[in-house]
Amino acid sequence: MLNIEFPDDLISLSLYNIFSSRKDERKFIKHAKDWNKKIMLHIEPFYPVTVIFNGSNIRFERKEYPEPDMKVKLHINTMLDIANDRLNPFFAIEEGKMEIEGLGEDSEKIMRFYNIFVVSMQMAAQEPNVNYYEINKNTR
Amino acid sequence: MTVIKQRNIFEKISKDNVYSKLLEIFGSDYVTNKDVDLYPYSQDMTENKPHMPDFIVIPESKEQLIELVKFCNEYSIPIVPYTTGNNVGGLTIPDYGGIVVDFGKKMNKILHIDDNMMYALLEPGVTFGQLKKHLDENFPTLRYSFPNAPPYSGVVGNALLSGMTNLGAKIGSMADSINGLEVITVDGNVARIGSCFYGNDKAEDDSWWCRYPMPDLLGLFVNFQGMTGLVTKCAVQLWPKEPIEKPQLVVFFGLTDLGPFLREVGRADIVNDVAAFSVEVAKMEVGIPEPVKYPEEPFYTAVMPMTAKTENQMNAKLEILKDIIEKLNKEGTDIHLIDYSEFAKIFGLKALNIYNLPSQILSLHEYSGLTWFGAYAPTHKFEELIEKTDALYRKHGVPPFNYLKIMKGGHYGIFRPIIRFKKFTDQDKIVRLLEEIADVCIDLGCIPYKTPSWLTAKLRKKINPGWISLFEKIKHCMDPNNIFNPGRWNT
Repeated sequence: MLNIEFPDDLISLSLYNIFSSRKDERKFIKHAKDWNKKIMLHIEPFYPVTVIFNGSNIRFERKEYPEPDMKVKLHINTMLDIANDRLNPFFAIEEGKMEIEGLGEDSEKIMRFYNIFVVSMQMAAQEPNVNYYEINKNTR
Repeated sequence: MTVIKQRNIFEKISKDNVYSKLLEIFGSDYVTNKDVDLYPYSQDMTENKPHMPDFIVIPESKEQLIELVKFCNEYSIPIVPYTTGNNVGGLTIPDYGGIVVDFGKKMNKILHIDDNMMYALLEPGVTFGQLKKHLDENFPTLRYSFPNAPPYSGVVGNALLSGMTNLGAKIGSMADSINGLEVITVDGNVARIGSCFYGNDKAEDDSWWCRYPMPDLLGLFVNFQGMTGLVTKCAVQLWPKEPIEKPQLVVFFGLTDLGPFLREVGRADIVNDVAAFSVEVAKMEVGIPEPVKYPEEPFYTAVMPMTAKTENQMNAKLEILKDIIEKLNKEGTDIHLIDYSEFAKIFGLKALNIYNLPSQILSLHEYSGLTWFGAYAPTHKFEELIEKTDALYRKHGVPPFNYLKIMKGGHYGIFRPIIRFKKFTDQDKIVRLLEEIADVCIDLGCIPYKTPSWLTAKLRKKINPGWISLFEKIKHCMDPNNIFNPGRWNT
């Protein structure tokens, strides 16, 4: 079980929504729990947000955290291209559309980043039911 | 200025005798004078002062209403038309008591959809949700247009009060889409206005297709807030539903970047509508309970419904839109375009509420109060309106909740500060803010619509005397005993 802190800024909220849809999923928990990393994500033209994975908790800081474990910078439209399978994330790196710092030789880091961020975005983008009124009926 | 005076409405006839007459007209199941029934009709979400009606009646036919109007005119009893009570202007609060006529319960039929000439003939109680469902199920190639109002709001009231639409950038005000009306005037006469005016007792269903070219008597009932007669039928235009839809989101990082963008995109004739909100409103919409703008966030966001007949046409429209943004950014703005459908999926589907109209925008109704200064605005004043109201919001410690639109190919704009509040704790503060916003906006030439009487009192000080004189002559001519929704526009 993961605890995801509810944020109050636009970009953190979008990440909150993406992660929340998977927070009870075994594969997501496996990657996110005890990762204990600080990932700085700068979605242009918006602002940097640092996602802090700490044990079972995920929280967001609306700033560039000092010495993050990884920095990722991409434009919102690149993010949507990746999420909607129009652009392979590895090509995006190659083409300079997604800049990543701090990968080093740690293959687990890139694997976790890919599973936590990229796969979650792609899953959210492929959500077939786009009618808000048809989901969460029990809680409205 | 006309002075508002309380009047004894039962001078000419006792309240008991009025009740007896109402029972005779409507039957005992459709008349009430019980406080528990009257109470919900005594107030709305706004700051406007509540006042209890004396009776509620639920009509089902024109004939009942003719009898009611004749009776009320003889004894000077006020009549207040009501459909769903969702207006944000205190417009159905019976300031002088009297009889509230609730059209929403039984006079709520969709009488005819004309597929060929694209209009809907409606009774006053038809709601946006009802009309959309009917069109989707029976006329899938046609659409009406919808304001940012809940699906249980009334279509006819919105049209008669020049309300908004999500085709506003193309067609302008909803009042422009009225083809014709059937109205009961104060003497009990039934008038059909528009191309349905031929014939004696009845018009054919397929005759409600145009408003012109006869003298436009429709103006006697549009924006009069029910002060000149009772509307019993209304024909509104429908439009073809275009198959390609690609709504766009635009974010504005400069406080006043929205102004030039609205003007440029309006005249480009490429979008159906622009619903531009302060970022605080956007944050509220996506579920942040007490939204505050952080310095890094954009000042405004705009959702723009875009439709086209073909992919090529859509691509051409998007190309024009991108060119506009590129040109403005070269001139110093900081504006960015994002595919809204894709963004909303990532961002949270709740964001689609603002696009999938009519929809209940829950965050606006979370508190006990909701009010606004909704105005038609000169578009060259957008920047000044944004800056000056922004300063007022900050002075009062209230997050800026502005909503702007460009209308009818850029011919005019809409500027709407809209504020939710807690009635029992924040109302005084919000009323002070709203008064100051109103003064600033009116000074800059804004003209409020769906206007509460405290605001029309302000307008009257600014309007030329000739207009006031003509308006009052018309009101007196149409309603000499002031029975139709008295108090509106300070009559």
